[in-house]
Amino acid sequence: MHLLLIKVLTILLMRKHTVAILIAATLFVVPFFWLKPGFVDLGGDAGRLYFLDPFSVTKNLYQQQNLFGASIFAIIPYQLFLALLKQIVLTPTYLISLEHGIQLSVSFYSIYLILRSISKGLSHKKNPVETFTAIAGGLVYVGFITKTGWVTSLETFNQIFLNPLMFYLLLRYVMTSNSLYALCILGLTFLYSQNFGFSSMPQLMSFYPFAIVFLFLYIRVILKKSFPWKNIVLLFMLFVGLHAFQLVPMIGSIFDSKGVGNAYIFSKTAQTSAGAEYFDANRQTLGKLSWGLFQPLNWNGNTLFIAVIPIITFLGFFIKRNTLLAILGSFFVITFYLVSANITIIGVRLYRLLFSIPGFLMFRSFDDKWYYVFSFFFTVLFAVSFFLLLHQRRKLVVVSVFLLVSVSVIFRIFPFLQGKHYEGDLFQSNNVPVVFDIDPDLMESLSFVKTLPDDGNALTLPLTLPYFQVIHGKQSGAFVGLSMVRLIGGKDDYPGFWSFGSYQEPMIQALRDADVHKTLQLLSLLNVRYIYRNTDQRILDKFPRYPYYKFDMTIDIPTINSQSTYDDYLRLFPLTTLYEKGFYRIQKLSDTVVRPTVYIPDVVYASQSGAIENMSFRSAYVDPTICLEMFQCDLQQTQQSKLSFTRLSPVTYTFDLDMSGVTDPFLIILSEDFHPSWKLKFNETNDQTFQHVVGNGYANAWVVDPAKTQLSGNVSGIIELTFKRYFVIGNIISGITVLISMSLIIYRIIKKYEHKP
Amino acid sequence: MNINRKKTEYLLAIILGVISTFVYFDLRYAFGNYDTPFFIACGMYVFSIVLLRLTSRLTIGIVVLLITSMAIHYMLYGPVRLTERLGEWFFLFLCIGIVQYSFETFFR
Repeated sequence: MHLLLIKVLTILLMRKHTVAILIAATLFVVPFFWLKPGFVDLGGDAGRLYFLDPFSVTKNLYQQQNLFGASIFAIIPYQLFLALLKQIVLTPTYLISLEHGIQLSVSFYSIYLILRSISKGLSHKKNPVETFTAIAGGLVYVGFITKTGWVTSLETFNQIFLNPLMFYLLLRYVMTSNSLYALCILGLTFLYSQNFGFSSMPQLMSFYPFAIVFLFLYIRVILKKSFPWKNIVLLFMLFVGLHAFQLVPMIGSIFDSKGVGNAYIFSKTAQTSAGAEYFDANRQTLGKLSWGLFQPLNWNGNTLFIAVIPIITFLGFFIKRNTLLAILGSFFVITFYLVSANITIIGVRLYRLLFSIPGFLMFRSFDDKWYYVFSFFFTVLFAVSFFLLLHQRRKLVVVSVFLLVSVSVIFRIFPFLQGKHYEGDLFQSNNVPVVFDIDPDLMESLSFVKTLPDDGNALTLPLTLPYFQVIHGKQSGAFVGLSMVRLIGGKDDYPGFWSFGSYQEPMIQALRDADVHKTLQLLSLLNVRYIYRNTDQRILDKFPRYPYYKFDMTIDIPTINSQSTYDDYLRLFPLTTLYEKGFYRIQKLSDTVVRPTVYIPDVVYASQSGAIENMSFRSAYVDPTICLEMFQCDLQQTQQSKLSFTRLSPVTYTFDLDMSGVTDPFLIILSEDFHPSWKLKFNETNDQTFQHVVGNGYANAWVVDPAKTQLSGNVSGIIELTFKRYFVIGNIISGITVLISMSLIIYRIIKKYEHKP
Repeated sequence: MNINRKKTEYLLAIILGVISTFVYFDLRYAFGNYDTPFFIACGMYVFSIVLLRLTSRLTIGIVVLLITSMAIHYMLYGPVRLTERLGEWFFLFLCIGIVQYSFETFFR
């Protein structure tokens, strides 16, 4: 019986790729059983709302050609790809399942192909153990990647299959110099641009330097061939050109003193407080050597099976001296040190020193950022060791060890394959599942938001901490994540206390005191015109702490403790209801209490309190020095210009101004976050040097002095964010690169055709 | 240095005995949470590699022993201090083993 089983297994495995394809297909299908129809997992820090409505999210993101957009613009091709897939699979549930299916099956198959290629270099003749090795390696890698991140995963999570897939394509490219592989690499990097963009820099910088060095050593030392540097440089140049649409804005934001990337890379404070200190805080709890060695530990981690893979990994060193094993051993040691980050006191000190390197801050979550690189080299080391250990053994031994490895992996990850990772509850909730079913009323309300004019921001209620929106499922589960009003509705909003920025404390105080005037003034200064309200009592009852203000504030704010107190407080506001269905209500504040997005203030104050306490809803405040120097500070302006504006995009406004009889300096306020690259230009004058200052604590303000500018009567102008030029330049370079790549493909096809007899 | 086989085995047994004692007491937390035991034991082991021309097989054997002990300890007690300390010993011996193995592969 045993012999028959061994024979069947051997025959099956010897058939080229059959079993591997079957396993990959099974892994692709498995995620379709994880979520019930209509249920989704969309929350989390990153906002996976593109699964719900990929096209709307892409459209709204494309308009954000500013510093915020620079860091996330890379995701656009992927979202468009999802939008296309959604036309086929129709529901977000199947779209999520499809993504997970791709991640699992491609991970397995890529590792399988890598190991098939590498094992050819280990033996001069064809050996059946190659197939066993490749399949075992693929399964081991699948085991590793089941660790975390499958529920509400970040957009960078695709690294789990992109790392091995890109490695395989690079390996084939350097081995064969076939430009087809280069085109596949470029196409994939473009499709999954977010995995090669700003937000994926840790994943990118942790994997590819190691991968390239390993490839170089493999080609030079093992295969003893020359490394095709020219091809690699050409590929890199095409890569840079193709990704210019997201790289140029990203580089622009890095060298912009206001950019997040700039602070992360160059700020000394960030390097110490956000880098080394963050690392120290996490090292004790997350820097576990055992967690790295015995993964996957989430599932059946307390069995002796945890020892199988590590032991086989090192037994290979006993058999015979092998160059590849020596090289892989070094890669294992280095990546193991980086992922565990807690090896000896000297080792920790050395690690901490690394944070003084600009940019190393991105690896502060070491256990996550290095894990998939470590897993990759661990898998390859295991597979090479497995091959060396068994390639001269009897079939019985080979099959037995193969079955032991396969069973040890499958037994441990079986709960994962069953979808048990979806059975968790949301953080600090009253047993609210992380997966939820979408309420059709929610989607309808968001469709209404899309139709609202671009004349102000929205306040999303109930308020949370820091800035998440909570939406309960129709039947069960809930969404806790980034605001749907902003990402799907396309309306800039304030969903939580942190989003108020410098207005957070005054807002808390105003709500505590139930001071309607002060609350309205604050909302007006923030250019809030609409209120998007979720009146579902469950989202407050089932989340007694996080993500509401009770989470980590010690104060009590009775006005926002329940839906009824919200009702009572909002009844005092001058509101008109525009839309109401189910739990969702959209209201509009009266024009009398809303400051326009672009306006000329009637009173300029030297302090925030002055603007808030005053009755006027057209006032502004600036730095006291500027206020005293340029205006009749804290007093009603005697001369008043009239301004009307049109919002062409979030980064471009045009305006018409009536300056008849105006001789005193006045202020033009644009209620968008202050950035030096916002420029105001008049069509009628070449002198464009207006003093650009911070207004209302966050906004852009320009001091226009008619005496200096020689402007009078009706004039027009434009306000635009010049930072958007980076997006224009990037798009042009990407377009040219696509044309060059297309030309190369056509040239290659013609040449091939010409050479045919 | 010509040392005959018997003397070599004798010396090796002593050195391994001393190192094992160091590891044992370190795991019992006798030396506190310092690197000193690592330096002394690994220093002695490297010295014995040079002196007795030990091969990487012995080192990898120690590595496999350490990782097996670590796995058993993890299974019984989880990622406690002792499991992690075993992990540190495993890592240091693995480093020595990989360097030895690479040296044997590339230069012999």
